[in-house]
Amino acid sequence: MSYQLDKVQIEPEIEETKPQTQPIAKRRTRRSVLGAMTSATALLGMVEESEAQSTPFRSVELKLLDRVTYGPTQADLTLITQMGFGPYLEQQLAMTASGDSVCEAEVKRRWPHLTKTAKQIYPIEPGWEVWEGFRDSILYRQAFSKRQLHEKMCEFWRDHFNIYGYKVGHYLLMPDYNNVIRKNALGKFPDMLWASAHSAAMMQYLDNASSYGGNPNQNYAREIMELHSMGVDGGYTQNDVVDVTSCFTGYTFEWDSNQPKGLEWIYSDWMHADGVKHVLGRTIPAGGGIKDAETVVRILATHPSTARFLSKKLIRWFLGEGTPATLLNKVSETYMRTGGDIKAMLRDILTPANITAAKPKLKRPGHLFIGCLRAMNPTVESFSWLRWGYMNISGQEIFGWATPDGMPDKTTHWQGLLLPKWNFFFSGMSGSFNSQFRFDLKRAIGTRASAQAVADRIDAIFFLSKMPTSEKDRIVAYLRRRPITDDTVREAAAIALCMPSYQWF
Amino acid sequence: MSGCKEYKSVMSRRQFVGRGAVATTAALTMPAWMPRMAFGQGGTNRDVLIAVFLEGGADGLSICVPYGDADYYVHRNTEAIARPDSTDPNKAIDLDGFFGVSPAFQPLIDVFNDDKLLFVHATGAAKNTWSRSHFDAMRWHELGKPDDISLGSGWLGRHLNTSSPSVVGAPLRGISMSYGMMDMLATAPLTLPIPYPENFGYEGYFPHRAEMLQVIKDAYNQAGDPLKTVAQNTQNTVNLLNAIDFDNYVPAGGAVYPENEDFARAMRVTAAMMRAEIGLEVVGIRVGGWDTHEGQGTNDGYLRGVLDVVAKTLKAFYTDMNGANKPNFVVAVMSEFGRKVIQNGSGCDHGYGNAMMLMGGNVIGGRVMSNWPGLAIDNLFEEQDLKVTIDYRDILAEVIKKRMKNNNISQVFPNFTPTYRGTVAA
Repeated sequence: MSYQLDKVQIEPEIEETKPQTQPIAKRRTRRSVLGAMTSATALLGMVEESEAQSTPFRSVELKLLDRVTYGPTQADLTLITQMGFGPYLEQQLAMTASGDSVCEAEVKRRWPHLTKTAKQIYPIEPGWEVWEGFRDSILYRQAFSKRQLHEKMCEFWRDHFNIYGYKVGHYLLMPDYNNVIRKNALGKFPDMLWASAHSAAMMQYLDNASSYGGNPNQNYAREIMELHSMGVDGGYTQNDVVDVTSCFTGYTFEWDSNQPKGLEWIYSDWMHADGVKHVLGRTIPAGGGIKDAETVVRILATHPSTARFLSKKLIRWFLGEGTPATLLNKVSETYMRTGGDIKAMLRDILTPANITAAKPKLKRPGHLFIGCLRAMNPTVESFSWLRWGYMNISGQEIFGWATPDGMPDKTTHWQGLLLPKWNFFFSGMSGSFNSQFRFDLKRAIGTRASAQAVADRIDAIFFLSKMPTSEKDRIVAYLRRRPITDDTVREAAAIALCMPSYQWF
Repeated sequence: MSGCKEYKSVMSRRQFVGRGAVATTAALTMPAWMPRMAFGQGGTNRDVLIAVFLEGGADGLSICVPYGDADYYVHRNTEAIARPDSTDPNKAIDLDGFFGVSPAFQPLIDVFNDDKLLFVHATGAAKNTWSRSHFDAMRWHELGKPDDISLGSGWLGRHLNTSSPSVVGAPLRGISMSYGMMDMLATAPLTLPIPYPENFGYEGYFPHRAEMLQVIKDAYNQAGDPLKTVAQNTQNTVNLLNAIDFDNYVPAGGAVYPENEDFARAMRVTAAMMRAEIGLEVVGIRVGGWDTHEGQGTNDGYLRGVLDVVAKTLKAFYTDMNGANKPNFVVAVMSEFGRKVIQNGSGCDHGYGNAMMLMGGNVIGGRVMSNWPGLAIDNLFEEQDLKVTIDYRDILAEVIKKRMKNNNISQVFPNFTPTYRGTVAA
């Protein structure tokens, strides 16, 4: 084969601070040709031989649902059709837990320990049950919460402020998830950064808990700049890392669960390095104590690099790879103008024009699984089968990502994992959906007068009757091969869910 | 990649069986675990490359110990391995009068003495690529080109893209034994992330499974890449791997892989695939647990435990391959950076220069290759880290050129001119 560099590279981020190189220009040309194709499978400028598939019309409202939910349901579609694009989005941005009372009541009933303090959770036995339940509650909300955009943001922030559960323990992790992630998911970013810097779990995860003047540990200081705020190219130096490390010495937690502040974040003055520090061009005088790191958090939260880094990640999360420079500038400016108001940034990103222009994005495995679950709307007995059998095998174990960069938001990372996705449907349609989720396909399909009628039901249940025509034709043709039986119906449903278009949103 | 003719002629299950039938005579003498459709290596005489990435920044100064440098013991008052002539029961094992190895490496001393194990020291990424961030350092290390934000392909991915398959028709040229593709293998053709090759198969029960798979395959073929290629590879690879009975695999030469260790499992599975001659060319394996900011230790610390596993596993793999008379492999062990020369309390923070290992039948080993920069404070990078005097791409490029028989080094490592240092036989 002839090796062409521009064919094997993934699509680059378009970063306007770097001069456009020739290969990028070439790729853009090819993509603009493909842009005329409306198929959900004409993707990423990597398509060489595909044919355009005809797809039933997807309104911009439905496309918004694709982006802000874990998979649109008929109820979602009815609601947004009644409300309209803008009001629906505003409702998603504004809705609080009290507006989602059915889901929240069920979460509280099933998992009563979720909102407790570390000190309260620590002695509960068996601990593994609390830890498992905690992770189940995240999937439950993704599947059944009316605050779908909020839950998608919680996942985004869980990656952004990633913590490896096995390093810190569930009792530290659960308060972090409540007080850092959920509380601020649609709030102001500086508040979230502040909360994270005052999280016992984060101090433990990135070794700041044991960092003191005589023995500084740079792990947290580096990551708060590289991963949490400015980004690796944000403009800090190794000297900044050294001095930010000093500023954060003493930010730890009370190890002894029997103490009044047991397992809570504390500031320990004796651990603090009390000299003068220089951080990003600012001098932090000696003697500041606890205020040193507070100053650092303020510097980072208001830094233009932070605005750009977060804007880029958010755009990518909702619209996919290949950030348009104009949008990046706009969202970054909004961050600076509003003091890091996440809602305002999302209003810039989730416009009809941007939603329409966005290319299909590959679903991460969990997104695919939860989307199927939402379509089935079952009574869930347990999530253990889904988590252990599929999430974990796909490399998406909740709080199982060891490194602080969080799970990648990158097609090339996830695209090779077709088998666990297929297997979820193969196993599910062989009885596991019914046993774990109480979803009875036979009943959902109902009478099966013809191959077309069965295919229509499958399309309606799982695709809101928007399955690409070419894929649906395959399902109909498959069902026509022999008399329709329970087995052929579940085979047809499994095939439908394994189809390429279902991999993208 | 879908435009490449070579990759369209992927063998079907039936073709496998047909091939197996041709090789009936050989099959009769094959062990029971081996599939009945081995390809044979087609006489290409290339090595199989197993790239082992120690994730988190392995402390090379505890692996290949510069005991002859007195400053080592100045900077590491508790986190140093004792000199070979000391009375410490956990002293280093001498290699050449200046360097020693951790006592954890006792199992590999035979291999070193066979000249099949090479250490390279004070190696790492060239200075302009240096980063104390795990993620930058790992990404650039694995991509093999610094400072290129648009590059999405890894050095092993580019190697496979610029070389013809060593066995025509083999459905699987590379495996990333990880959840998600390792960056070094990004964009590699006929390569999948498979964390557990021994469990790669379809679930559920359907009376007409084969027909279903055909319908699915047809749909992906129409839909196009990137998933078209993944779908084809997935189906072909399931057929291939299901034909190997991993559970009953018998290592050759009496090799014993450590029990219940993921790295040992990965290498044992790799050995089975290599001996089954399925045409596999590269394997990427991640081994975690090296980020020893705390509790690093020398004997009973954390590091000793992970090193024990690595050494015993590499020894088992070497014995296995040797016993099976399959010397054509290179195991390259590397990490994103070393750790600081100057320890913190009970560990070491992220550093720079590091040690690297090559093991294999065609490795010119039995020595430590180094332009040792010295550990006196003035010789350290930024007065804290081991300097890099040998770019890691020199080592990998030589393996790619001489053992993988790929001359397109300028594409495997763009904008880099390697110096070949005689690490492997031509």
